[in-house]
Amino acid sequence: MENLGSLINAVILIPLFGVLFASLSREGGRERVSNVLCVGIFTVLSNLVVLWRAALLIDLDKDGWQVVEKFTWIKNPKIELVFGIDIFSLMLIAAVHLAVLLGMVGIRHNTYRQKALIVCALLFLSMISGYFLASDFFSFYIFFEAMLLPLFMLIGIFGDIKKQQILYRFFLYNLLGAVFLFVALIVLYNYQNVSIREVSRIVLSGHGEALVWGSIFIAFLSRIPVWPFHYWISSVNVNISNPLVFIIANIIPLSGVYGLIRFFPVNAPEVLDPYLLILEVVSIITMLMIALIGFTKKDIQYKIFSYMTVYYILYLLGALLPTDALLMNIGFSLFSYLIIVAALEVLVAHLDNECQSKEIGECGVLCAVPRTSLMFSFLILAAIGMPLSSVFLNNMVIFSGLLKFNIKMAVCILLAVMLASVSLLQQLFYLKYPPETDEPLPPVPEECRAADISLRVFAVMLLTAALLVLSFINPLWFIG
Amino acid sequence: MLVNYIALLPELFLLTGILLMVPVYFFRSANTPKTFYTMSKWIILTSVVLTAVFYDRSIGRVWINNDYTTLFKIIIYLFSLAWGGLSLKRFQNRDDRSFSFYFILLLCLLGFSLALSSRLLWLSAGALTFCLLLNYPLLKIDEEEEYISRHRQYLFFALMFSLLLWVGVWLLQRGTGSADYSEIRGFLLAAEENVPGKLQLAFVLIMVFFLFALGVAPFHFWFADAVSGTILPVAGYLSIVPGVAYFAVLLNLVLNALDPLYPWFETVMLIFGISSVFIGAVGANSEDDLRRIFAYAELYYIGVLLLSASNMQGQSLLGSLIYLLVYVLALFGIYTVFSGCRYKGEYLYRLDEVRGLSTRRPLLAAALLFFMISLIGTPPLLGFLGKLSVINSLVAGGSYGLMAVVAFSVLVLVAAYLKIITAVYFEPRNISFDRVDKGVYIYMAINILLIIATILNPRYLMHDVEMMLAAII
Repeated sequence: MENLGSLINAVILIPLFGVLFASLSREGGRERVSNVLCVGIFTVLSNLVVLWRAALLIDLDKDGWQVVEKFTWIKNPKIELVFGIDIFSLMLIAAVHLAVLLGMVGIRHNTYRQKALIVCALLFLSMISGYFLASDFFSFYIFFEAMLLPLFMLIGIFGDIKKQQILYRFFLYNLLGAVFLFVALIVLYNYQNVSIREVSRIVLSGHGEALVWGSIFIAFLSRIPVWPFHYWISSVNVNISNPLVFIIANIIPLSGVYGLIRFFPVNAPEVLDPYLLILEVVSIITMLMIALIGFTKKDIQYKIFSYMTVYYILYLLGALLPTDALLMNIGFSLFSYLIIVAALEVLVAHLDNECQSKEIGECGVLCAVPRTSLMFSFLILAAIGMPLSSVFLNNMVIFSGLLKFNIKMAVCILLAVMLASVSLLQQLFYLKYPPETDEPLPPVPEECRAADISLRVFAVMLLTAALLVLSFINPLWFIG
Repeated sequence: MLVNYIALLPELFLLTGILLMVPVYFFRSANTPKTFYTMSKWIILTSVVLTAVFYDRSIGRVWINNDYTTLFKIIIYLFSLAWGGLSLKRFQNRDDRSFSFYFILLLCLLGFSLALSSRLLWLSAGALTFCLLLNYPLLKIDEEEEYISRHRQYLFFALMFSLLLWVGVWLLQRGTGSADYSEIRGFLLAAEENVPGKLQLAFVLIMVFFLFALGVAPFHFWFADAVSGTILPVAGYLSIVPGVAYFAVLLNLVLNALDPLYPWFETVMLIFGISSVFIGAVGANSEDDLRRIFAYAELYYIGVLLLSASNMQGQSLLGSLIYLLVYVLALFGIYTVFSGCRYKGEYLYRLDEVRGLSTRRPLLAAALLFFMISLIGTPPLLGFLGKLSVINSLVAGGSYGLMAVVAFSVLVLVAAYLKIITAVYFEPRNISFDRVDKGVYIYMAINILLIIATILNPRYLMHDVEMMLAAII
């Protein structure tokens, strides 16, 4: 088990070393994959190997964090940074790494400020890994806030944000959430310094309890695009054309969902019950609204965003149920979901790029690109919950959990999920089938045809598909 | 014992050096801008060594050297030395005479040093007045015509507040019958609740001087104008050194002499602190001049310091001292970056002038970002340690309202910093930038390494600050 502790440290440190190497690497030209991208890919792959090794050392029968690494950071006030790992956090870290890896594959030929992109992506990766491994108040907060800066830089440089005010509001809104968390955790720390799992042991006075838990609640909620704050997040997201940046920006809600899962519902005091009800209602309204907007919009980027939002809220509502039984199902489902969305975004970016550079319409574009079409169809079907990945079975379990506790709520959620799924299918249909005409269409000249994904990217996509299928057969296949 | 007078060696050496500079200036024909920097460098370095060696030597009760005074003196000396080194390039590029700048810099160091170690009220007051008034000739260096009236205005207010200080000192000495810190304290403790009104007035007058010197709201009006209306070496000095020195002397004076008069003033400090925090955060957002943005940001940080230190208790003071050191280190880094941002030899101060800095000078831009993050207090950089210390001490003291003020007002300040980050990183370049001197990179690297080393292992910093506090509480 001692090895596992070192591996935990390595998971946070390897991307930081990657940052160092990437900042010293050369940016490549248009023709070749640049050194800096190679450094990025190598770093992520190395960390995945470390994660796999860590997964093999985890005892599946044991509940809670398996290994705890402690560092005494300050003696007065006594602050210890504590890191631990369990299968849930391990799956999320692996999913994020795989998603970022796919994003890196997607930016192979995008040379615009690639060094800045890779440096920020690796920094983000380190911070979010630390966040998933944190098991004390301070390390949890440190990584919760620290991941914002690389995100801000990525969105600022690559986000094509027309109005800077939106970017500012997005960042400040997220930072506000972090401040709420900081304040709440400092108050909790001054009452009793315990690990996150034991946080329910802390007994606060009536008002104090409501304020502290309310702050924690707001902090995590600030990361999730719930009404009325969804506008800034959606404005930021839909303008991102770089697949890696889009993937990273859409991992941020995961940090909110994860935080709520770690702190709620078992630890939450009863004083928050009425607020939880309000949150559930607002979340369902948001789900329905965003699913509906996604359905009506023609922009595929927005459709993916609306799909992601609906699913994040689904996981959030699943996590808020007064039981821990669904936790692993949420973990298994999130694992596949993140990979599907990342792969989908890479293909969408490719198609978008082809359509723009060759000035062709999107309708029926998949007809000319069989490899892309195959993978795109597979991913859309997996995304909507067909039996192709762990999303299928685990979403069913989450739905059954929701139905068991509140049937009205579950029906509304189901409606939103179906709307988001139909929206994706509608897009698949639009991209796959050109409009019917009475006369045969003239042959399209070669230079006006969209190019298919390269064989290398196709191979990566096939591997991704295999991974998803494996996760359907056995979500913990990598442990054996 | 005569041997105890070696406690004065650092100050004597500073004085000798200053006196030596005068004949060099007048009688040496081959003077260059580097001449006076080199002299200052050796004088300050020797003073640092002497201060460190004789750190525990005192002369009776009138001149006390302890961990607190020694560490603050060394911090002030080192920041001055480093900033002096960075400023040299400005004088060399223009082939200006650097005598005035380095001469006054040394005089100020002497003044602060005297004020820190002296336990005689009139001597401390004299040294502080001297330092405050010396800002005027500093501001006059290469003064532009449009700023003359502002600088005269500063002189007027500096004289006025110095006069208030002296009235306060006179009243206090007359009322207590002594100028010695410990005797004043003894008298005030003996008087218990029957402290005469004129002593209360004297205390207020003295405190008002400090609030003016620190640039605390509502006495902040001079600071942003002074910093933005002068050359970069002077702006950097005014932003970095005096704040540390006045705060150190203020704590020393209150804790060793005036603490019986202090309790009722805590509320006033809180009001000044809160107003500084708000005015600083909002003011920074209304500016386009980088120096003014950071001048207002400094007002915010001073406000946080006052809020944290307002109850003058151990844990609060620990938090505020850590915060002070952390933010001054980051602010020094910011000014280091400024000294690298030049176009055709002119320093760039406006937001629109540094647009696209990241594309041409990525290291400079990255360092600016690094120091700003540290100033915001975002983890994992050192500013977080400062923020944590202050907020933790406020929560531990039950000051939840103040904690909320400090924690949430930073968001307003962050908005101002976001404007800078946007200009530097997200906007296209409209001018080119001069080559950056190696010295700037070296100072930046040292500062960054110091910040990283301290955040990874903050024990040394915490230990030093605890030692400092133990010496005065």
